[in-house]
Amino acid sequence: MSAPTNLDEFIHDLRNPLNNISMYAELGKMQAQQGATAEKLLQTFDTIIAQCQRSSQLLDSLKQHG
Amino acid sequence: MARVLVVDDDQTFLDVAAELLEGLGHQISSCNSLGAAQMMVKSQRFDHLLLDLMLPDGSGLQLLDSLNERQRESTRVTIITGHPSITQSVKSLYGPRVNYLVKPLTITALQQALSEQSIPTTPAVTTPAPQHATSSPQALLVGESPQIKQLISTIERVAATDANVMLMGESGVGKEVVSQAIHQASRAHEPFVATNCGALNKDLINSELFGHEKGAFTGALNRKPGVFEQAGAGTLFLDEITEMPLDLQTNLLRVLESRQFVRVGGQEPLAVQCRVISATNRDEQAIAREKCLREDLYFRLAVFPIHIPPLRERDGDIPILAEHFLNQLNNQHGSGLVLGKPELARLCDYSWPGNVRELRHCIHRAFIMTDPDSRTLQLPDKLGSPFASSEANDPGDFTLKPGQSIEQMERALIEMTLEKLGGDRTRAAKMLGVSTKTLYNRLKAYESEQEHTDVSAN
Repeated sequence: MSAPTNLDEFIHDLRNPLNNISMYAELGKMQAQQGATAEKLLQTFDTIIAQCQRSSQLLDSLKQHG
Repeated sequence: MARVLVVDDDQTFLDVAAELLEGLGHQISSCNSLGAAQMMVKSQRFDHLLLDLMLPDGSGLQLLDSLNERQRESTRVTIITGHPSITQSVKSLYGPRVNYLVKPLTITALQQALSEQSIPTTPAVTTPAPQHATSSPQALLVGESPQIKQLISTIERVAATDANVMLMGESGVGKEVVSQAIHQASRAHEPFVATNCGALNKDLINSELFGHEKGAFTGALNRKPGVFEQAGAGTLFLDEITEMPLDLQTNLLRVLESRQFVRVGGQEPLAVQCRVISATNRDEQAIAREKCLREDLYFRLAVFPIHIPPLRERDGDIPILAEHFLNQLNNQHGSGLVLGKPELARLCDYSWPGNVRELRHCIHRAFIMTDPDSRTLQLPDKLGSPFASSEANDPGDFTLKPGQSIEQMERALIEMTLEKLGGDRTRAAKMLGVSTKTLYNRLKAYESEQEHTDVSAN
């Protein structure tokens, strides 16, 4: 993952996966309340984990270039 | 339930937003670029737009410029941004009809944004007519020129009938506004449905027009009413009718002739009750020449053809329109900018190839760019958009004006062509469609004319 060129851009890029984590967590809550299948819930959690990894990679790229 | 368009370049976000909002009972469409969103708002109507501020091909705010007057009044807009600092500056530009959410979003924030009632209305000089009241065309059409008065009287006459209407006029003259005026003057209690034939997907055009039954084709998850059904006994506005592929025009012709249609994959015939108003930026001659509309369909659609004049032919309306647009912006933003005399003169001198739309955009841009401490609206150094057609794209000041002689025009054209080609007379002659000898003779005549003038001046 390439590093963003300035701090503003970096913050913008980091908010995208953070936003997805928040939205998928909300979706997971809704699915649990509506009695969704375990498979559906697992897909949602997998996406949350993938988005956490995306955030982590972004932070790593900042460290490398900072 | 709201019809929501979500525009964001992050596919993961689009997927989750669609799933969450559908779970909350809304109808969601999504796309990942400004260009795609501009196409979608042309062909469909949305109650709410959720826009990312930064898109790969522009800003989400640019989509607001693509909305027509009616959509501006009825569509709520929420900008989703990753920059909290941006919200304040943008807020001051776009006023109360736009609200903001900062990432990361929560479901409560989204619910709140979607449940907020439509735009708070501020007192406007010309308030658009409410949806459920019959009103006169004067409420929507601004101007006092003989041409606009003639147009209003034509609209009043056609409103009293059930005839299908075809509107013809250049891009930006206000064809949709005229169609709304006809609707308001005749069937205001019924729905007004607008669709852009140029933006419809060729494979789905029948489904868009006539609707489809559940399971009619892959992806038809539910029964969907088409625009004919949505319009009921109201008005169906088919914009850019000449952009509809010829082979598909046959289906439309059959429906207009039989006054019946069937949903794709369905059996039950449904009656056409609406008035069809179609629009094109071509005139009859161009339609016939380019063969872009079946003749039999033309006669069905253009029972009552109306030509809307370009702004340059009713330039007396420019000051009234400019004041009108500025007043609208002043009311929306609580400001009190006025138009100075020099600015007004510049607006009146320009030829407005993009017509009323171009004038409205020009005033809007100037409003945004004007120094907040200024009392008068500051116009940009150069008027006109880079997309404006014809003379605005041409170099020089070569404009046709009544009263100029053919000799003057010919000389201007020759000089402009030579200038463009860096003085290459052979190429210029070829481009002008004359022999090199004729061109030389003309240039010689201009030279001796010039010498004569110089001698007389001395």
